[in-house]
Parts: sequence; C-alpha cells; structure tokens
Amino acid sequence: MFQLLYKVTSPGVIEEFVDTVDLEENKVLVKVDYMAICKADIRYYLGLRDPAILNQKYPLAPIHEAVGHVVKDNSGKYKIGDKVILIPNSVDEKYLKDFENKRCEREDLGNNYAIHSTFRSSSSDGFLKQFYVAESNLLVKYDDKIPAKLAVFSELLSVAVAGLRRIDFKETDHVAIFGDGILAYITYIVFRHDHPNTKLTVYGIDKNKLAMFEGVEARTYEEYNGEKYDTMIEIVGGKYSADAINKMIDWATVGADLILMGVSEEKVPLNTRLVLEKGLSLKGVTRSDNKDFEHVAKILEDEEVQKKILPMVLSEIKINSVNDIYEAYKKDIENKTIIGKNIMKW
Amino acid sequence: MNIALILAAGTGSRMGNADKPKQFLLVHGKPLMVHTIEAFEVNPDVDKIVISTNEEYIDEVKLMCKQYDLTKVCKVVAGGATRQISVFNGLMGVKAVGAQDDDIIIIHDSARPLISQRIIRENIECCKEYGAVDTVVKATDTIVKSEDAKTISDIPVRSELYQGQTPQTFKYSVIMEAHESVKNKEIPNVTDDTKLVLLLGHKVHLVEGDKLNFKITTFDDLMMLKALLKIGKTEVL
Repeated sequence: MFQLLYKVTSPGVIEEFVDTVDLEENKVLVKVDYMAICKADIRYYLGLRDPAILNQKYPLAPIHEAVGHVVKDNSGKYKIGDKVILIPNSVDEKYLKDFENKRCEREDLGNNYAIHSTFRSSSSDGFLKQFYVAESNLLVKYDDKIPAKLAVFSELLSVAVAGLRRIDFKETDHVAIFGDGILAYITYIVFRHDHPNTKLTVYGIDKNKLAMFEGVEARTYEEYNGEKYDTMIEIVGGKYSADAINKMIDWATVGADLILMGVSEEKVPLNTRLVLEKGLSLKGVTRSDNKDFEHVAKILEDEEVQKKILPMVLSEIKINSVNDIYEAYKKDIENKTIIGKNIMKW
Repeated sequence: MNIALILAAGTGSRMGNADKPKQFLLVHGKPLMVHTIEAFEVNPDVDKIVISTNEEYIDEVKLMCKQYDLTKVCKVVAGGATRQISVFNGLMGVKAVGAQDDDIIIIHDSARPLISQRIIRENIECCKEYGAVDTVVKATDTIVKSEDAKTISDIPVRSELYQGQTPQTFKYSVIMEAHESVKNKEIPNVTDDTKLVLLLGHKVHLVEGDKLNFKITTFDDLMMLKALLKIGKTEVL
C-alpha cells in the first residue's frame, strides 16, 4: 500500500512524499490516531539548530508523540483494534557492546542512551503518516477506556517517568520542580501519582501556568522562602537554564540530586564551587525506554491523571492536507501562555 | 455494510507491449492492484471487498489475496468487455455477498493505487447522506472542446469543470437500478457509473479528490508513480 508521509525539507517548509507500507513478518501494522508536536519538532521546523546538523537531518518526517490502534498483526502479540502507544526510540543491540555504551546496562540509565540508538523525528523519520509498521516490542498496549487524545501525551509522560526513575529518594525528602512549562506539568502529574505523600514544590515565572499545579506549593522564584531541597528537577531549558540550575545549586541540601531535563542549545555556566562544596549529583535525563512506557500505560488508567491531562488538549486538528499540518505548527508555536498542545488526528 | 467493488478487468491496451494487464504489473515488489486493495483492506469503514477481473485471471487474483492476506476480499467475479459490464458483474458479486438496498458500494479503479483514506472516508460519509457520490478534482487547465478534432468548437467555463476520478460511491439500490435500467443496452459515451445514475434523474454529489489519485493508464503514469516512490525513499543521513 502507498500513503503520504510528510517531511520538513527546509526551515518552515513541509512537503508530501509517497511512502510504502509493507507489513513484514513479526511486525505490526498500526493506524496512527493522534499525534502531538514536540518542542524538538518545532526546533527542526523553524531551523533553530546548527545549520550543519540541520542539513544532515532534512528531509525529516517529524513527530515522535503518537498513539494508534492495531490494524494487522504478524507478531501474534496483539489483537486487531488494540490501542497502542508508539515508542519512538530503538536500539541496535550490536552497539551495546561498544566501550562507550557499556554503562547502558545500568538499570537507571537504559539502552536508549547508547550511541547509535535511533529516535523517531530526530535520527529517523517520525510518525507523521497514517499507517506505521512497527516492531512488536516498540508498541505498548493501553486500556481501551483511556481516550486516545489523552494517551497521545504518553511520550512526554514516559520522559517524566524516566527522570523520576533516576532518583533514589525517600518519601520524606523535599522535592522541587523548576519550570512551569508542559514537561514540568507532566512531571508534576507523574510525581503526584507515584509519590502522593512526598512534599513537592514547583517554581516558575508565570502565575497563570503555576495555577495549574493543583495540590502542591507552586511559587514564583521571588516567593522563595529559604527552604532547602533534597531532589530538584530542572525543566526550564533554553536561555533561562543557567539561572534555574544555579538557583537549584543554591537551594540544595548537602548531597542533593539535581535532575536536568531542559534542553539548551547554549553551554550553561554553573556554580561548580558550590556543587563541589555540597557534594551534589547532576544527572541528565531526556530519554525513556520501554519500561517507562509500560508504566505510563498504567498511570493513564488513573482517572485523576486523566483529569489533569485533559486541559492540555487545547484543540484537535483534523489533518486532511499539508495545510492542516502548517496550522497545527502555527498554533503550537504561537502558544506561549497556556500549558498544552494542539493535537493532530487523521 | 460498506462494500468496495474493485475494478481490475482492464486489458492494459494503453500500456504498449506489457504482457499482462497494468493492474498486475509489479510496483515495489507487489502487483499494482494489491497496493490499491490494501488501502480498502485497512480502512475500518470498509466491511467487504469484491473484485471484478478478467476471467482468465480469477484464480491468480484469488491466490494473490491469500498471499497478501487480503482478508476482506470475499468474492472475485469475471468482468466483461466494457467497464459497464464489469461493474454490473461486480454488482452481481456484491449481491451474492448479501448486499441490502441501503448498503454502500464504493466502486474504485484498481489502477489508482494512491487512493487516500480521506477520500474513502468522505465517499462513505457523503454517500450515507446523498446516496450517490463522485470523486472529482477541479480542472486547473483550460479545457478545450473540439467536435472535429481539428478546430475549437467551445471553451467551457473552467470554474464549472472538474475531472472525474474514482471512487464513485452509491447506495446499492441506486446503482443497481441504474444498471438494470440500461441492461442489455449499449449506451454511448458512458465511461463511468455516475452517468448512468444521472440518466435516472438522481443527483450525484461531489467529493474532493486528489491529483495524486491518478490512474495508471500509460507507461508515463507508471514512470510518474515510480518517481514519486523513489523521492519518498529519500533517507535521513
């Protein structure tokens, strides 16, 4: 079968390509139902990366946040109609033997950090097409009762799960999230679900966004009251990374864990003297793996979690042509004030 | 019930020396018609598929359906010398698989493999409402009419002109009545089913097609399809 695949070919330009759909042995044919645009997709679309890198990437089909349902299955693992989350990362096991990848064996890290692992919409084409042929282990089934428009946030949820998985903390610890954007909100949802009794504080700059973080202390930086934290999660990124991470270093208890999840294209100057003095640990988190997605499928069954995700669905855009895709990008790029996404469906 | 009727009885007479009808030519390792049928096979709104093909290829088509796991294909019938006969025989096949008056019949050329899911969906939705639907694209070139093939006799207003594609989709009762009304009659200049339905006095509604939903009729068309596939395979570095 043939279908259209949409690729970013140069900054601001999305073109149609004819793609083939071949269901090979042991693979699964999935009809993609919902897709969401990530900040990384926007950076590729706007050309906000080093031109040398961009020239190697284009043409590239965007989108790594997607859910669908099984249309045909040659793996024997799924039933027709099963609702599934699409996993965007995959690893060629042969590279795991390389010296530089040997730490991927660690439970808290995972194979997806391996050099040469591939990630949809970054190092291989993304999910911006109606049908996707998947390896059976790159799908995770989710409950039929969970609305697909909420499940489309699974990849973001999985990154939050992966971030929290890197921390070995006690329930009595004081935890703070730095950031009031969408991934910060998603991390708050996962944290509240997994650790309902742990004290959590959220710091940001936008009071309207902070108001969405219900049931926890949500403050602006100016409202800081001198409290210290055992675990802090940075989800700021960009040009404000340095300020946020240095505040985290200042506000950390001795031996605290700092998790860095915000993406910055620039190098970030840090107060390393204080990092040394306090014996702090900094860990980078950006990639989730299969077990994180499996955990997300369970989290999504919680109606409280669904209730918190629903306001993030800003609109549903039906994709009939490339013009609708431009419209979805435009809306997400212009949205600076509300936590959420304009999700796309076929 | 929504039943796709795939027309695969063409002879490929406009494909030069090809020793098989065009719908059987291999493109990307599969017969062209398989690519087309797969688009209906994976569509959740299509319940059954009937194929009307050349009599001598019936067994080959049945085998093909098995080989490519086309599970919705439930009948393969012999087509005829003209499109009208092939559709009528296909409708007999549709009747044999239990079609009722209100069921929707989506008639599509097997040589249009770039049919999109949107076009199939909109055909079905529009047919539910109006009973008869044609897929069209707006004419972008000026169309010139010549009655003697030497001089222009008219230049119709372009904004009123469309090019017909398939699917053409009808309620079973409507398309059967149209075909029964001209059975055993040779109606000149009938190249598709909408014309027969119009002859009944029934309105036919339009669904927007797509230029990519072109018909593989000549070697140029085949070359165009292969070129599109080649461009689509451009890999990420």
